[in-house]
Amino acid sequence: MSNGICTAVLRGHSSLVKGVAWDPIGSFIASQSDDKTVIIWRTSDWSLAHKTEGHWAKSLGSTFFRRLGWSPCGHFITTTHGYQKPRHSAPVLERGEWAATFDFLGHNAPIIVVKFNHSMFRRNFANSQEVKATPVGWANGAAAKIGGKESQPYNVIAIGSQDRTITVWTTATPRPLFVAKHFFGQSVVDLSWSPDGYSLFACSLDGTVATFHFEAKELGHRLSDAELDELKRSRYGDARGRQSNLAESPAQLLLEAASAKQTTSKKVALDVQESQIPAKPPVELGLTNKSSEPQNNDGKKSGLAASDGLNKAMSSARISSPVKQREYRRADGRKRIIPEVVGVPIQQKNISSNAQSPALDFPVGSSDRRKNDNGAVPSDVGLREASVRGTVGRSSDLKERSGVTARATVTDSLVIEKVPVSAAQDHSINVEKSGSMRPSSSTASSSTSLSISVFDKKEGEDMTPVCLEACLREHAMNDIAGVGHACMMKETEIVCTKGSQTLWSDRISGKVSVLAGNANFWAVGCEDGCLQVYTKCGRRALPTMMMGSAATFIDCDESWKLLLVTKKGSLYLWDLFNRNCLLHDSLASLVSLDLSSSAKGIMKVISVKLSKSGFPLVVLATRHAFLFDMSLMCWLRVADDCFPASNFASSWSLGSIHTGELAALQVDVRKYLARKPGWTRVTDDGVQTRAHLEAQLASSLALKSPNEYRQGLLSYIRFLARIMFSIRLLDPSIIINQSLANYTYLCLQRSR
Amino acid sequence: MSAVNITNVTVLDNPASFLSAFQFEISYECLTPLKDDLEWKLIYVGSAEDETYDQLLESVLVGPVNVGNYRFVLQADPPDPSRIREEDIIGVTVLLLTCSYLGQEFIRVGYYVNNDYDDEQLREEPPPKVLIEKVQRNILSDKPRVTKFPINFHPENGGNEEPPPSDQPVENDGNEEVPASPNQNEEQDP
Repeated sequence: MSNGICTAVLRGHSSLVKGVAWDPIGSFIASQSDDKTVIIWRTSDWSLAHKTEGHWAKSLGSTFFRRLGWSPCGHFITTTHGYQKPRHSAPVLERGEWAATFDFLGHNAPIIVVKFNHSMFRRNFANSQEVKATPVGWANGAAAKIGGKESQPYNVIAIGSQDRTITVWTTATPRPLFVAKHFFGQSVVDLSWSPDGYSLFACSLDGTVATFHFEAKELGHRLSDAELDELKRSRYGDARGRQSNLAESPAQLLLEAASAKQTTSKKVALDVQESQIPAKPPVELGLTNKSSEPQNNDGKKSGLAASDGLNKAMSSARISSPVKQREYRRADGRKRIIPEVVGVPIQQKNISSNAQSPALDFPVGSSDRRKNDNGAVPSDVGLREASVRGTVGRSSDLKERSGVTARATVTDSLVIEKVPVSAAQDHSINVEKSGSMRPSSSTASSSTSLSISVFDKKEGEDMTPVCLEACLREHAMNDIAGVGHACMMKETEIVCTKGSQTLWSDRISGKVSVLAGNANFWAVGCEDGCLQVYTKCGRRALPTMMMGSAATFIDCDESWKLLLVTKKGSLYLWDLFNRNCLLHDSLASLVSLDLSSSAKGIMKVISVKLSKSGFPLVVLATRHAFLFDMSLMCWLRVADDCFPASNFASSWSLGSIHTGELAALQVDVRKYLARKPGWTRVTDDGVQTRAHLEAQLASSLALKSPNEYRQGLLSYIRFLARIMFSIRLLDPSIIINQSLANYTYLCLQRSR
Repeated sequence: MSAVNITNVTVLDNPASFLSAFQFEISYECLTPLKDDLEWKLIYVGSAEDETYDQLLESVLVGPVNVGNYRFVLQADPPDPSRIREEDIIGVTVLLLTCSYLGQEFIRVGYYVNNDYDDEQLREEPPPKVLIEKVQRNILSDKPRVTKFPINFHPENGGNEEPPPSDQPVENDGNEEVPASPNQNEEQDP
């Protein structure tokens, strides 16, 4: 094949061959000819497997084409120009017997073209974890579904006919999905599905081309290529695994399909993040999580449809998933096999241990990898802050959000300049990222590359994360207009890869300072104040957005929100799907005039991100955390060091079971305080503790963290109960509201 | 201790025609890295009484052998019926899957194989000349018989391991996960 030499000539038709189709499994070729038959050929020896005739007997003697289509699942062949009195039909041959079991009826003129969609579809999105490898039963007039209901994948086929109509059918229902009657003035000639499966293109003899766009709720959800491969493998076994043994006969395939039906191939839920149950204490390195799922991970990691042969004890007569091994002959003629590696992925260990070991020293925005930042390594040490989350302590937060979003920022020191109020009208502030503890060992001031990686939860068992990388490229550009003077052009190349495969790439001018992305989009922010948003496939979704100053912090949530903070302190929160700005504010009010560093108008910010509540959360170098409340349109301080003497100052530390966002912030504060010289533990007369608790309650409410609110409330009430027991005087100013009073009373009753 | 343990053996396409190829999907784990490859052999015992009728169906080298879990498919040609005595073809015989390192066999897995006609008629009245195309073989993969032999996996280390094969084989059936311990014989009725 690769040298262009004719491999075989298939003789069998008695007239012109007008259509050919390959079996998606590769075992057969089907051809339809003017002799009104369909012949199935074996690819192993190019012999004739079956000849079907009869259904096309009444069709015209000669037509332009008789192009048949093979379904992506391999089970059906739809042919054209069938005639079943008194209507024209598209006979469908089923794999195995190759007999026309079904017909597509309804067109009033010969059917010219049939096209199966490249992929199969499924009604409900894959919530169910089991996909039975049974072919979707389907008969004229009744849809017989074998096994599970809506999660069965089905084929989608479009049929165009000389009667100028197009119909779209799914193999899940007996009625067509869609009938297009008045689009064309003459016969439909050709149909084509887009690669993503949701668009259909059609052309006609009248000289026009039409496109039809379908939505997921109409067609269903498309199976990914991996899922389709798995379906085929579970039905037919893998041609590779069999190597030289191709299917000898359709009967063998049927046998295999039958025995494959006996095994249920479980689709294992991919998500690494979901497997981390937040209830576990974060101190345990995530190994405990994995012990419960090594089997699943085995299947996952090897990227195969999880074969039961791996997980269960030995079982006979089972077709297991294909083994990827390599074989070759050594020089001495002996056959050698390089086996396939199986086992718990190492990467997971790294991920969980990073996320769940708060005992790590607390480097600000240091080299700790983000949980999902598997392969992405900022190559330049100077870019240490490129790690997104900044603090390891926020493990739970990582768990909740990581996996679907990723971001990276450059840490060149950027400075907020605050012009004193008296001097200028506009307060320009610059946001500086707080430097890391380590000295930068890199002498080069320019960053070389920056990258992030995102795990797509929806990808099914495909574990490879998608990585986005931005690197500077310098290349000479010849000035055409000038006199042969070459100038060096500095551009940044942005490459999105999945594993070793490059998905897309782009070049933009300017130096990239921030990267963010999730399952829906990618955002690239530059030092010259440009922000470029890409769709998940790499198309530039919006014109370049001008932010006025360099992008310093960026974050995105799991769907369509994008948060950006620029060097001058502007804060933007966009909803990219609806293309509007949810919030435009600045960090100006966070600059405290008391800070020594603010003399120059510099504001040191550790991190800016979207909290679980969906609002921007900023943590300054003083470890004070601020949440922007969009209803109040101002910053709320949710974590600070104002209560060092509070008895509860360290209650939500590492030992607690439910760590929430607030807890993480507070732990950071405490640690930071502990490092400051001269910090001593002061005993409290209760006032500070109470204030602290009340502030905690309010903060956890603002952060929309229900667990913490509940814990805070309980602690507050216990505290109140204790205090009141000793004071023996009910101070009305302590009671906030009636419910609290009741609870307190109850606690008092109990403690007495 | 053995450096390599078999964790799973799955017999693919079973039952099958006598003349069809064998396919075993073998999973094994390696505890210490080995310098050389493992040699896996599949032997068809043509006659229970006579060793000379053993047919070595396949011998492959698998490697490199590093620490971890591995999986591969061992394919082998079917036995040559002309080398088996007529009276021995139909009936029960044995298939051996062995693994050796540096020429020393350290594990041997045996399977009973039943060869018989598919067709009722032929089963009742077997023709005088065996119709090999109609014979089906059925490997009893649920009941393997595993024998382990302690060998020296690191001869370069100076032989502090037990002496080579057949001195104290370890045998167990049905459950391959039982760790090796000398002189332990558990027979299971076929």
